Amino acid sequence: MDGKSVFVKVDHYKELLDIMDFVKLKIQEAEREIEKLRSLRAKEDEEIDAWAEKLDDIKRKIAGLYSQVFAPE
Amino acid sequence: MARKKSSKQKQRKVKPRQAKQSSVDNYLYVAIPNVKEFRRNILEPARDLIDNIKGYESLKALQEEKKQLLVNIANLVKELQASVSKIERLLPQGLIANALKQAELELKKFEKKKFRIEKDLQSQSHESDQSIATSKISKLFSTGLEQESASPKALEPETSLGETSSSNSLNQEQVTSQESVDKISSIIEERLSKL
Repeated sequence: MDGKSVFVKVDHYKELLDIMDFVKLKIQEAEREIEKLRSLRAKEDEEIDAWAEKLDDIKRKIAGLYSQVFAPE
Repeated sequence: MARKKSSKQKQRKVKPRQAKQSSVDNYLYVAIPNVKEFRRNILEPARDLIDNIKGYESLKALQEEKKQLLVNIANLVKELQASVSKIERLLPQGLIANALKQAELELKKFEKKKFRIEKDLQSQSHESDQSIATSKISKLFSTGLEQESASPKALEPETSLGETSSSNSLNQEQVTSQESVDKISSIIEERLSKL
């Protein structure tokens, strides 16, 4: 075993290669899906931020209205 | 009968009066200086709220998409697991198990080393125990011979001496045992540092 090469018989090597290719493809697909998921998450965060900003704006405007109607200067 | 009708009419009259009073209590006149701005201030939040509802819908759609993506990823992972198990089945066991075998061999070597060290330590402790036991026996023999050789009159002081000697020997044994324990602990530490 020290420095000597060992030959091992590999049966169904074509099938094995096909499976390897399939695995590679699937891994690439999974990577793409994960990337999509990341972008979606970023979009979601943006939407939530915009939502929160708009809500704050509405809150501020309603508070202004309230002060105009019920607590005039 | 006429009296009864009049009482009903009276009752009917009373009710609207009470309603009027309550409505008068809720009235409030507020002066609005800039009407257009006020209207705009009312309408703008309403528009923003509608936008927000739209945003919520888009958020919902995004979440649905995300769910679908997660399902897709889970399916992909399952497929990958299945294909990897197929590869494991198809590859010769020697190739897969080679790494495992090497790891096992290393483990065995380590265990052997450990066993040897433990054995050495045990033998050393046995040796120390044996030396202590032989010293004890020799001392006992020597005291016994002394007792036998001595006269019966002089037994009592000798026995007292024997007691003192035995106590001394016990102290010596304790010291030797402590030394041996120290030695063993130092050996263990050395071995551990080597490991």
